[in-house]
Amino acid sequence: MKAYSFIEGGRARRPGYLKPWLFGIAAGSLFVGFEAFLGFYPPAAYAFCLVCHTRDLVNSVVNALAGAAFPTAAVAQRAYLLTSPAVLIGAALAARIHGERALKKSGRIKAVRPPGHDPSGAAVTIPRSALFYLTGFAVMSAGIVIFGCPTRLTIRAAYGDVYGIIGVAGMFLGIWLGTAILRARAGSAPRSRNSSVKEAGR
Amino acid sequence: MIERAPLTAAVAVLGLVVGYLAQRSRMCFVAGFRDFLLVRDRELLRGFFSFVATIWVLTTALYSVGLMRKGAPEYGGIVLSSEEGVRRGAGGSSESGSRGVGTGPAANGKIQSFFFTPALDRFMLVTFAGGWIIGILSTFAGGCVMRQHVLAAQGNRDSLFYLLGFFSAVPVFYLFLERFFARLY
Repeated sequence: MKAYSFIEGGRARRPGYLKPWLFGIAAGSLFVGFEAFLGFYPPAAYAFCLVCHTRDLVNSVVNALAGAAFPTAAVAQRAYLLTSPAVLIGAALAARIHGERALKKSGRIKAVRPPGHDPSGAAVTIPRSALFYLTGFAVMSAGIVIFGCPTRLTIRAAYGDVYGIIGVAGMFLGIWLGTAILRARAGSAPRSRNSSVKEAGR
Repeated sequence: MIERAPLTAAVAVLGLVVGYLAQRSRMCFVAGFRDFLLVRDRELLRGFFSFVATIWVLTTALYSVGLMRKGAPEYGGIVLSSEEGVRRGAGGSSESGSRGVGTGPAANGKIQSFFFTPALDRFMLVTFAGGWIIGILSTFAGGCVMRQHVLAAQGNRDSLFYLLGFFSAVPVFYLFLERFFARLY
């Protein structure tokens, strides 16, 4: 089994674990090959984007059903971009095959207490699913504006697109600020509030 | 419908494979940098950089042998006005949307010089700000969009709600929000 040590082992120490750097090589080759050999353009660097492909899929369906005229990318005239459902199915298959399907229920998180709030009073809670809904909504809206999810921003940056590089720089700045906020909350919050930080982690 | 079938099938197969690999590797394009900042864990960051390096090497090689078109992915140049080519209408009418988000900064068909026209400067700022928003929100949500798909497929209810918001944002954006963002281009 030593020959496959790069697939086993790793942090997860589970059979069938694929190291992320191998995912990077495999996915990167697939995306470039998809465009180069299957003629999947215009636009370029479009082999994989969960924001843009979802937008094209939803808009194609709405256009076909309701006769609307929502915009789609040029290549969406030649295909239905089923990337998002396909990724869901592929991941569900992988989780099922390797027994990693685990239902995780949503909960409620405590809202940030305003300064001077009486700590003995009942805490204000928000359903976490609502926050996730809004997050998904905002990420999709921002992604439509800048043409890309984090994956496609990375692809565009690797293609040498100056906007992709700027987008990735902005993304890294956002991550840096986000982790700073997470760390500050984890450091200063009372123990009961730590759960939301921990669960946001992974 | 029929003529779309081969490429649709190819896209679906690509999505299946990537979804499978992403679930096995727990890859996330946001978590790499986040983990490095939080706990100095480089595992996912290596995935990010191997992804970038692979694409960089392959595109450079394929450009040089003429299998890919050069300079294609930029937004706002001459290439783009025909390339990003977001078209209005399902029937493929080539009326390139002169208004609206999703059309690219120079989609009105005008030929612009590539660098540092005012519109391009603005689009740089917009891209930076958009990337910033996506980065910070993805950090709070615990993963990039692809990771949320994988988590939802594994049975995470929160990620399922994330995806609901994700899908429902498309029609809402084009019905109500587009007119505000269109000015950014």
